[in-house]
Amino acid sequence: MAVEFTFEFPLPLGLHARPASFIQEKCQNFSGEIVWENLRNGRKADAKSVLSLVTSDTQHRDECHIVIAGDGEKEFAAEFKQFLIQELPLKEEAALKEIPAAGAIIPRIVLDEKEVCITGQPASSGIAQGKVFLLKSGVDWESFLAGEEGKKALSAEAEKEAFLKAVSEIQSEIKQALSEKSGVEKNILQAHLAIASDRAFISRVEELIEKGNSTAAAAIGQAAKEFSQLLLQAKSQYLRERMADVGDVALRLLEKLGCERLIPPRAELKEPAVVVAEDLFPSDFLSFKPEFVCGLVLEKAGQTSHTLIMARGRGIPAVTGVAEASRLIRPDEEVIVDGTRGVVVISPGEAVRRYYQKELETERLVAEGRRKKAQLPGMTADGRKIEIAANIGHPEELRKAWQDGAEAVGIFRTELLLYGKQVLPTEEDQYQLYRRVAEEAEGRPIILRTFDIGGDKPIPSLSLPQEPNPFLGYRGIRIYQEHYEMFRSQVRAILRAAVHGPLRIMFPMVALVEEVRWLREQVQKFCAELKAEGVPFNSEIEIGIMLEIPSVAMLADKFAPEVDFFSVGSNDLIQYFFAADRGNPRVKYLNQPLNPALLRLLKQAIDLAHAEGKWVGLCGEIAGDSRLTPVFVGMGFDELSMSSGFIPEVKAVLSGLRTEECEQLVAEAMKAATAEDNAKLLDRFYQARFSEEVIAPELVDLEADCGSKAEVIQRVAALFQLSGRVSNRAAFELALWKREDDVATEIGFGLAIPHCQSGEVRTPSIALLRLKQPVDWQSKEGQPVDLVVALAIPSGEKVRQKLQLLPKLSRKLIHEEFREALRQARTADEVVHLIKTATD
Amino acid sequence: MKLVAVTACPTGIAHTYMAAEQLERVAKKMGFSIKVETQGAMGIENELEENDIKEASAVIFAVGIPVQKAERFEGKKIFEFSVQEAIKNAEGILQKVKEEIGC
Repeated sequence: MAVEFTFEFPLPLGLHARPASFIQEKCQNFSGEIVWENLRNGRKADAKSVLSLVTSDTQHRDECHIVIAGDGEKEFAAEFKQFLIQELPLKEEAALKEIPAAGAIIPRIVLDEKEVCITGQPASSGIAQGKVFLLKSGVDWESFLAGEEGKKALSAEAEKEAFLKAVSEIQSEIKQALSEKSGVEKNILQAHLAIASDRAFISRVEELIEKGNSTAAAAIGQAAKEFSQLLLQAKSQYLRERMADVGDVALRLLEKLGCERLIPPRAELKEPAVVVAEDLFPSDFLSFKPEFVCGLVLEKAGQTSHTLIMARGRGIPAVTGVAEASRLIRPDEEVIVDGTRGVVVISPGEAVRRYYQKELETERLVAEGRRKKAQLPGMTADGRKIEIAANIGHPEELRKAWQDGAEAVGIFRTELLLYGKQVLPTEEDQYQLYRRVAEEAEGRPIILRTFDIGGDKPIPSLSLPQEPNPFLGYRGIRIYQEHYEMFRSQVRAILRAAVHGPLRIMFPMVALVEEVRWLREQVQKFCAELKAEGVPFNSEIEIGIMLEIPSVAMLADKFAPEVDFFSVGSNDLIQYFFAADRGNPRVKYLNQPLNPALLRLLKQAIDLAHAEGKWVGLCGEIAGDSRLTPVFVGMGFDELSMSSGFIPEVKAVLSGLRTEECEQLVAEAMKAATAEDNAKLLDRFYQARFSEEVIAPELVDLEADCGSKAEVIQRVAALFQLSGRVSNRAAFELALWKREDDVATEIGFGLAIPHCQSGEVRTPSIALLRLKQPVDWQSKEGQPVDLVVALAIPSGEKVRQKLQLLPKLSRKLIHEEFREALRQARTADEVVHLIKTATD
Repeated sequence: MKLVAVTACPTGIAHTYMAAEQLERVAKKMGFSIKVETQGAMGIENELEENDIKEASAVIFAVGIPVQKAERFEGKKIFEFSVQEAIKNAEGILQKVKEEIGC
């Protein structure tokens, strides 16, 4: 006899792999059979198999029928029912809380519409939409099976034995690894173990061996293909993840059976697409036509990897740190890449497309505002000139740099020219290229940083030894003595090209004064050669060095007489100074530009260099962080060089700063003990400088065209960003939603007052929207809203006087006459006047 | 009838003050005397004095977070509502208070 019961599946995310493994675990204690039937779709599953359970495609609230047969069925049925209804939801809730926040912001509309999206870290801002081009995809089972065809199977017994041996080896390997791992890695291993032990999977492989007369390898491939296809039918990230796990486990089994890793061949990008890959080497990136790369979705690239630096330089939206992206996203799928929020939406629906259409429009307006800022001179309010320059990796980036308002190139990373090349470029090739750069610069100075090879930048045309610690090893100028011809031809090419424009030369990875002396001697030697050969060259060329090793900072006064300038490479300097690999996410917290130790080191170096009459620039990624601009001004930097996308904002901030206040800020910051103290100090610095009004006409939209609450909140965030009140509208939007989730801010009278306090807000501000058509505010017993008054408040120490205005306005909004006046106002100026009067 | 009230909400910049304004406005219309203390981002404002509390027939909390210095109201009859309720239905609230304390 069997015991049966029916229940409604309680988990909001449906029966995905994690709850399925909880269920499987529970059912292992029972010796009999347990059949799980999803009454919605009629699919039956074995409750002792994770894979079988997930393929039942059980969704939230599906009616499920359970049949239990075997010894103690009655007791177990009662226990199991209790487990499903009470314990399972609690276990799931606890597990969900463990999922770490990825630094991504998922727009509310994507959640509301239950779209499939995967997240990572924002790496290059902007929005891209397009078809997926998958570089290094998962395994192509079809072609694997085609390759296996015709291979002769041993006896079914022997094949089965080999298979089961591989299974048990893998199980014990995973169990071993489980005891050593923690967190996310442990979860992945557990999922792998569940598959490697899965009854449905194992019995399917056995069946294929017995009935299909296949080899164990072909049977594994076939089973993996079948299960992957089943899992792919579901529109859930969890199931897609399981597909990746099935692939992984199958590959490991095949390796045990002596099959080689199946590595898919590299493909060529033939049309505009979103490139999805585990990682993308700069050489791959450069091998694509720039106009074909609409967006990047990467699993592993570090934020300061050269691929991402180039993506930012070219304005290509990118998201990195997207776990398993190359296996979760399929080729030719349509995706939206939101590089500002760190989100990738797969096959987006209508509402999400419309949301992103509006985002694009906002981006366009933001870009227009940027262009105005780009034209500002690189100068403080009190007239101190600071050269604002661009970092480039390729001459084709020059045009964008000038558009963004670059006054110079602070670093041209010439080694990027070598990527993907099988042979080193000749002196003549380089001369032609550098000459073109010099001519295109139209009088603007260009710093060419000589080849910095080694570290994270291996190149095929030079065979450099593998090193355990490449960042601390044989790189930069350290290899020039051995690879003298490469060094010689580059410097000669630069000296010759400098006849056509103001090129400067800069050497990487200098640690010792002797190194500079040697470099200078060589330059003189090359000059003499050129002179003897009668080739025109510029003997007056300025020669500088990177300041990226702490020894140069400490001894800047001794280096200064040997050079014309210094440029701080902050990425490397920070990693060497704090002894923390910049690509290792586990030690990312040590990347502290505001740490007083670093500020002291730099200030000392700059003062020493200035005393010798030499200028100092900054060309690391932090130069582009406009929040830090007052710090760099106060330190005394003479030049700031950055990804050109950051230039307009930095120029805008710079034009409002006075040298003296920045110097005071830095003097204070150097006395601090921690970077956090300095972050607070900087907050106070910004807050003390505000003088803006709480409302302005550009914060009023009398004809807002919004189809939903999500679009209203989006519009509010856009208004605050376009008026310069909010730096990052995505984070601000999230803060507004957080407040809405506490209690919706609809207060009756057709009025809603979305508001929040957020670090993204620069000054207390008010925005007003009149909606063309009323929207549902998703509040309890809520009425449709047609009038929206949004309030933005900075976090941290409060600007009391300003803050007083908001309570005043809130009180005023209670009065019908006031609301009516706002509804009737004919112009934005009228609204501004009404609100100013009300808050006076 | 004399009443005192406290309004407070999580952000403390909008609802707190709207509720206060609405209670004051409607009480006046209904012929009650009321003093409303706001506990918002600006801190405690229009703070209720010992005397105000002593003389009041009842205390109204229109709050979404715990009331600060709640010990002041020990022994008093307290009516608690959400801030939203106070904004949307101040009249109903005051009517209910009136009926319960019977005057």
